[in-house]
Amino acid sequence: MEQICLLLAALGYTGAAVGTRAGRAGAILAHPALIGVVGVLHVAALVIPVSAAGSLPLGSLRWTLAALGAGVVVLGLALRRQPRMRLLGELLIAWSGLMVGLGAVAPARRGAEELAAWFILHVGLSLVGIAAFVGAFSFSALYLVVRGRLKRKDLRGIGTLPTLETLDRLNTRAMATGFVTLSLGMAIGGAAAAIGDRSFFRPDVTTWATVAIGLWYAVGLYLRLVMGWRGRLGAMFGLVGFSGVLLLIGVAMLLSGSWHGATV
Amino acid sequence: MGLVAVGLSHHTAPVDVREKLAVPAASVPGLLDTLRKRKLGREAVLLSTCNRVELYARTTRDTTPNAIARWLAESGGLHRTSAQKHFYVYREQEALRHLFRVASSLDSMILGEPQILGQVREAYRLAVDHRAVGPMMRGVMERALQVAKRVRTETTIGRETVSVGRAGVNLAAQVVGSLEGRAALLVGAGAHGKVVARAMLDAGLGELVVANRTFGRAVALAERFGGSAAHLEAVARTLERVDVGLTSTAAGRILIDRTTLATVMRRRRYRPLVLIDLSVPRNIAPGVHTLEGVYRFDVDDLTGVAASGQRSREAAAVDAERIIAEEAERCWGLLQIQQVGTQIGQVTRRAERIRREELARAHMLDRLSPEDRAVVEAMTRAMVKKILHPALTRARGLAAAGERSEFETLVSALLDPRRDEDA
Repeated sequence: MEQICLLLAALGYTGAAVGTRAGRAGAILAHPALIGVVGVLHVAALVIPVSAAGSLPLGSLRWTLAALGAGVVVLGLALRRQPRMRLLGELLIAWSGLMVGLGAVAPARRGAEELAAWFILHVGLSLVGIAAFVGAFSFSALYLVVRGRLKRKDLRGIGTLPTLETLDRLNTRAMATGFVTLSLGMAIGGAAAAIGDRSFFRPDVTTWATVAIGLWYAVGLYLRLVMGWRGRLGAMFGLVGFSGVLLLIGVAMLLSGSWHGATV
Repeated sequence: MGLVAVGLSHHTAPVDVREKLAVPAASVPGLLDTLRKRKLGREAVLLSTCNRVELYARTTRDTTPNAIARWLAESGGLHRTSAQKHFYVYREQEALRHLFRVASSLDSMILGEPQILGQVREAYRLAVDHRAVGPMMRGVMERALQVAKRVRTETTIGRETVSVGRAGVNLAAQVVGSLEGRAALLVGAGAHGKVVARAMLDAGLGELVVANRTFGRAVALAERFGGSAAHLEAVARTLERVDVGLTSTAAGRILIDRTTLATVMRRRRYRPLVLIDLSVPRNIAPGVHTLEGVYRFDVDDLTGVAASGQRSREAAAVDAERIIAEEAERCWGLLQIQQVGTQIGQVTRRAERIRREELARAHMLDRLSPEDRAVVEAMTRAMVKKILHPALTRARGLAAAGERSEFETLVSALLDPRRDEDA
């Protein structure tokens, strides 16, 4: 049931994202009423496991991806309301569709971690970090699209797209937010493990990949905020960094079915 | 119904005629008063802009729109015969449709320009303040404002720019964001450069530096724009800190080459720089466009954006015309229902008045007891109602079938125009 809801939600979000670009027939897919129905299915998929477990299933890859998708779709819908941010909003909704779709096929098995406060903080902050990187990716991709059109002098309807300055600013903010929250999430996870019976650094795929992603964004932020480099370089950092995030999710899902299940 | 639109615009009259007829806001109340005193219109709104002078009015039974046109011409000091050819007249639903087109900027010189909506709103406000509008004109004007808003929301008529100056502003803003607080460098004193610089200052540009081969001319131009002057040799140094560079000179050669700009960009740490070359021959090497952070546009790009905006507005105008036709049809239908109700009300009020007058004439009724008098009242009221019923049913049927003239004839016959001229 939960999987069907997620699959339908994934299809609905993807349809809503591409619908407005596909003529009158496609506009039906982007109709607010239909998005509302899809949202209800998505919420149902989030609520069903909570009511079954009696608590937030934060150790479940499926649930966390679905929750991540919910955050991203809310951001996308908010951005889509603004004329110049429409395309950006659609991009985020499409991303949400992908995440919810991944969630639908991901295992629902929960990790062994207890649902202590530290665990909720660890997972919550990490998810906010990943959501921010999704945003950074979208801002970066759109930055390169707008830049490319300006460089090619393809200026028809350019005024309906966000300005390069806006995209660069949003990208920097999203990278900074992602970096800070992901780092905090990692630190809380490590500290809790160290206080318990495990070591601070757990050498599994997820930990190594998260460290690499954090370092990548740290370099990007240093170049942007300290060295003053902006524009295409920042956009490339956003694009490549998110590819790492996707790889992390893919590896976690394929190898173990949970975030920290696969060891190196 | 008596709705007319009488006036002239840039489509029909040259500027020397329009300027004579233009009415300053302070004079509008006086003109509206005169219009009513001369019984040319019961309700009226006067719209006077630099491109049009139009009177939207609900006329009296004896007024012709040509009489209003003659009066407008005379009030502007124009000879009534020579002015006649510049005037147009729209009646009834066509007048309504014309008002909707004007408010929605479909009749404007620059298709989709936003100022006209404010001007229509102001004209309506003036008429309301001076009690020149009644229920019909109020309904018509408020609907026109709503239709114009719908057109702007549902179509792209006002979205893209159609002027070269504004195209320059938009292209710069597409890269650097809002121009507020930004700095620009203007090299030269060419006409196009001044137009774009002025448009940028209007868009909130914080600082303008003017450079010219003749420093004195740069100083004069900078004073005019409220900016500062620089020597031509300082152009590269100035480009390191500004966000936008404009060139508009008659130098006939490249003033900013790729090598110079590569150094400038390194020093700027590749912070985006918009360069707009409005000179022919060009002053900025076309190759600079490939440098990281540099966005170079020339006069062809700007005119291309303006032309594309014009095409986009023309395409949107087709949708806007459809909305206007649909709204005019709907609004006209509502006005007619309203009007039919008013006219039928006039007939029943007249019959009731006659009934009361006739009862008052019958002095013997004074001797009746209150109970008997109530019976007579009810009986006469029922008689009047039954007598009028077939005629009013027929009138409503004619109105519903759109048989306007037959409806008017029947209602006029029932009203006795000699006694109820302005009921």
